[in-house]
Amino acid sequence: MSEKNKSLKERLAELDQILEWFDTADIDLDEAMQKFEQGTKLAEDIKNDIANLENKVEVIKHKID
Amino acid sequence: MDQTVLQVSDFLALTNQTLEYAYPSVLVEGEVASFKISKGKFVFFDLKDQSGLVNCFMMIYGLRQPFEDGMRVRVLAQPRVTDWGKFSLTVREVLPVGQGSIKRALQLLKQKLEKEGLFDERRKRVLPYLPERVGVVSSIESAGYADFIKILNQRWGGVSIFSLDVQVQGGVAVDQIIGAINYFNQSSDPPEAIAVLRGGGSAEDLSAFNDELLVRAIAASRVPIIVGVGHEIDTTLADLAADVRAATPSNAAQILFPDKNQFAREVDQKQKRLLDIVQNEIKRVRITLHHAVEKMNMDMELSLEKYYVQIKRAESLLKQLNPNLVLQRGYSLVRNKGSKIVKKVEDVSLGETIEITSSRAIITAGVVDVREK
Repeated sequence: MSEKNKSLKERLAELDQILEWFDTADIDLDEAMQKFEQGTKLAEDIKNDIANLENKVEVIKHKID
Repeated sequence: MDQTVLQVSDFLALTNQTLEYAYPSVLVEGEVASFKISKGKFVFFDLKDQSGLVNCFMMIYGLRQPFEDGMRVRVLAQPRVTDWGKFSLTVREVLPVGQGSIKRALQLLKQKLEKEGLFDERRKRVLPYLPERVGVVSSIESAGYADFIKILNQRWGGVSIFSLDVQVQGGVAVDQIIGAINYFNQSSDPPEAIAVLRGGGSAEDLSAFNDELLVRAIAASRVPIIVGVGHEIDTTLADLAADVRAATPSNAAQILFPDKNQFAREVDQKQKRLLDIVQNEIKRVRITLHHAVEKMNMDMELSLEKYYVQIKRAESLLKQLNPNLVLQRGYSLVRNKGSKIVKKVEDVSLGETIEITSSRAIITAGVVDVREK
């Protein structure tokens, strides 16, 4: 799955996972730095999405009797 | 006069034909009495006023709301005579009349549905988090619908809205709203939630949202439903049956979607937490390292200390053994002609020149006498 296609919800889930890792795991500094970078990028992508995504409104042409 | 003679059954059939011709349908209003349901299918009651009474009959599926004795109702019916000569009204529709009756009918319906568990909290589902596909059932021209869309656009993005235009008041409203809910439920790709919306209006206009079939459709929907029927006074039965109740269409948009600014702030918080944790971790490692080095130093000092003690001991031992120190204590060193240190009788001979070294003098002397000690 390319980075661009990950949905906002997937990114949020990943970010939360990283935070959880920091709360519970025995922190290895190298891994910590990696996860920190990942988390920062995820947060930036999420904020970007929030600012730029648009809504689509479709009026369905269905006749109800 | 020439009169046709009729058999009884013929007379009854003729009378019914005449009635059908003259009164294909009538609207009669009166008070309900002796209301009863037989075999779960047949509804019998009397309609009366101060001086008259007429029997009424209908099938239970024609009954859209429960009734009870004493209520004023209006019936749409056809008059007929039964095979045993009884005059009665065959009722197609019944409507409560007057605020009192209407309120009472609503109360009865609410009790009935409540007993069935339609309004149970446990039945209610949670709306999906950050929904991406939402169905809307509303009057597209209405201000309520416009408000919903406006608030959505202010708050969030990336959402697909599928709107079905329906009447929200009047005779066809109930069927259309039910039809819309069914449409979304039966779709091959149903939305994650359905919002049923109506802007504020007088209490009468909300009658569709108290209709039994509509309320049942909301309760039966597999897709979670949020109802946003704006009004100040009453809670409709649709509100009670919905998974989530919103006060207005705008409120429905607020409930369904987060505010993007608030959300971005929360993401910022998460980022900051990450930073804090990492910084703390680095600090912690630094401190641990510092302590480790300190301990190493302390350990080293302790071993060095031991070493110093040993050295001091050796030194003092050496001091004691140092010949000069011995001489300082008053002893002398005697050397013979061959510079050999004299210890025993054999080391010197009479008359030999010896050298005596004391702490501060070197004396040359001759041996006068030598004896074994």
